[in-house]
Amino acid sequence: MTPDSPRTGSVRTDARGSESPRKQPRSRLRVWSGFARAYALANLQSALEYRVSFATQVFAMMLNDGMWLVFWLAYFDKFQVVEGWGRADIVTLWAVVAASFGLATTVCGNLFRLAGLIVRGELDIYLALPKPVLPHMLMSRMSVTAPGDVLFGVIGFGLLVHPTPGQWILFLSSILTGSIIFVAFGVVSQSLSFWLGNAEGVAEQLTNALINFSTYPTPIFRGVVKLALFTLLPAGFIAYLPVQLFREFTWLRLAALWGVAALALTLAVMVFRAGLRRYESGNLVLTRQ
Amino acid sequence: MNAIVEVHALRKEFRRRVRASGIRGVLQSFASPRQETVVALGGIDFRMEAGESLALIGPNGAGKSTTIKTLTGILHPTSGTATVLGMVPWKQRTQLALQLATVFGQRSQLWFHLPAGETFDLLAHIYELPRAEYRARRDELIERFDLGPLLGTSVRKLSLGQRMRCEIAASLLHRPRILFLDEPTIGLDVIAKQTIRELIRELNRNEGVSVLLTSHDAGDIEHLCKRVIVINHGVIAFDDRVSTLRRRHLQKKVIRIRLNESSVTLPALAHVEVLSRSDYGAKLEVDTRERAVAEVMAELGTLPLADITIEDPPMEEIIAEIYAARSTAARGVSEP
Repeated sequence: MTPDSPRTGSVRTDARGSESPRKQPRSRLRVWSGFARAYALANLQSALEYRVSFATQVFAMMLNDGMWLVFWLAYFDKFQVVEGWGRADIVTLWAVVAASFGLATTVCGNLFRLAGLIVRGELDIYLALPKPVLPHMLMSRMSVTAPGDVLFGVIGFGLLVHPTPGQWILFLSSILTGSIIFVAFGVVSQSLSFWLGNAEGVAEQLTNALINFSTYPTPIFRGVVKLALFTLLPAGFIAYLPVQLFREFTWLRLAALWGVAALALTLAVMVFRAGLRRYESGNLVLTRQ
Repeated sequence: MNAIVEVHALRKEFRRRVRASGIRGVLQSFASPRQETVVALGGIDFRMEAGESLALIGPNGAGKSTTIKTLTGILHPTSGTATVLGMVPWKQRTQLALQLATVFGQRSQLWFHLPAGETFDLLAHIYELPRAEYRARRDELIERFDLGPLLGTSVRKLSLGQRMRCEIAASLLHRPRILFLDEPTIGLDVIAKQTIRELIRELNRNEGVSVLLTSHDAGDIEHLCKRVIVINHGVIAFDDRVSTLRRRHLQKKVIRIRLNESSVTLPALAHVEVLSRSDYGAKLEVDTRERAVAEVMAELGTLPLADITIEDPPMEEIIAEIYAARSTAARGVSEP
């Protein structure tokens, strides 16, 4: 069994050190959902300690998303099409990106803090506990304001695209693959800290680039940039491919999208595990926030 | 004997960038970075038996925390082997974590903005404790650690000593067999230190929890452990009973006094050396082989005292003595 694999056939040890089989083995899914619920509650309680700050953040997030969408809607008032993409395509693009990013950072709120956690030796707390480090670390902080992004995406898509039930299912699928790719990309870029030392700045730049390129219609890019958007900076898989699916659905494209998401996640786990072997911890005085 | 920790030739190296000072150094380091290898653990060997309370002491940077972090699977060693409860920590980390607990004095596992009780609930999920079992254990720990009045208060509002009591209680919810404590009394005042030491000793005696503790406070080992390993520069300099360490190396105590009046003449005290003297205070060193500290205190009690403290000699001094003793012994062997 690898260091981070979940435990199976667990035994409990009593105070005298003798071992006895656990009475009622619980399913992994139930255990993890209880674990996620407990963390969600703790995060919500922690955020509500500062109510004004919490409300301001939610409002600012909605405003930020809304302003960009208004910009694009104003653009389409003047010009009906950009590289073959119309108003509905751009709204779908924005809705998928916002909801994917929102979902990724709601569930994995530590995603874009990982580089800092590595540098400051803050993975110690997760490594001392009996859970796989990567999912535990990612989930232990949930952004309670990021659901604003998800809501923005869902409401925007529903109001402006008027989707059919089939398109809603496709939208859900696109959010899931998009958030998986965001998480995978975040883990890989932030894990650079294992090798480079302080990679917080690099990781932030890469994340910003991914978000920016995801929110523009990919057909406007050519050559090397386009190649990069389907390899190193997988913005094309977050929004472009899903929009293409809305325009012209094929099962092969859908399977390819899920395949890419699975591949990206596998790669991210491998990179993180390789990096963890180089983890050097630290001696800063720290508390969990 | 039943060994629960076995360490053999455990070595840990870190790479560190070397840079000269000044702008030139910064530019040179940027153009052609140079790295050096720092040996945190230089191939240490030791065993720990079930139920034992063992102290790992040494100055800052000696390798104490690196040892604990390697034995809990946080760090991967460069070479060597180690087993804890029959498991290799860096390969079976999650299974091992179910049976041990780690408390870092400088790193909190409690949520800063939430009451400690909320973190307890979270830990119950992390350790997958059945609800009834968890509640019974939590209530037992609340009573034993006297946490009742603290549980509803945000961790950020607790004193360091209160927080450390909560930290240790949180680490015991899953009934670990081994407790690793990394500087548990760092920064605590005398009373808080005493409380924490009492609680750890009780755990070791009553629940049979094995304790491996790092500290650079000689008081921790004297109060808590029967055996001590002194580590310095990643090498074990001493591994024996605490009574042996005390007999050989903890033979002095430092007494600091602060006086209410200036220029008071100190009485002549046998086997006491005056290390420093000022108008309103003095620093004295007592040779405890020759005189009990209590006797000296009684004599000092006749002075107009504003404050008095008793300290162990600094760890650096003890280690220097250990090394001096070792090199003398080595010379004795090589020079017939």
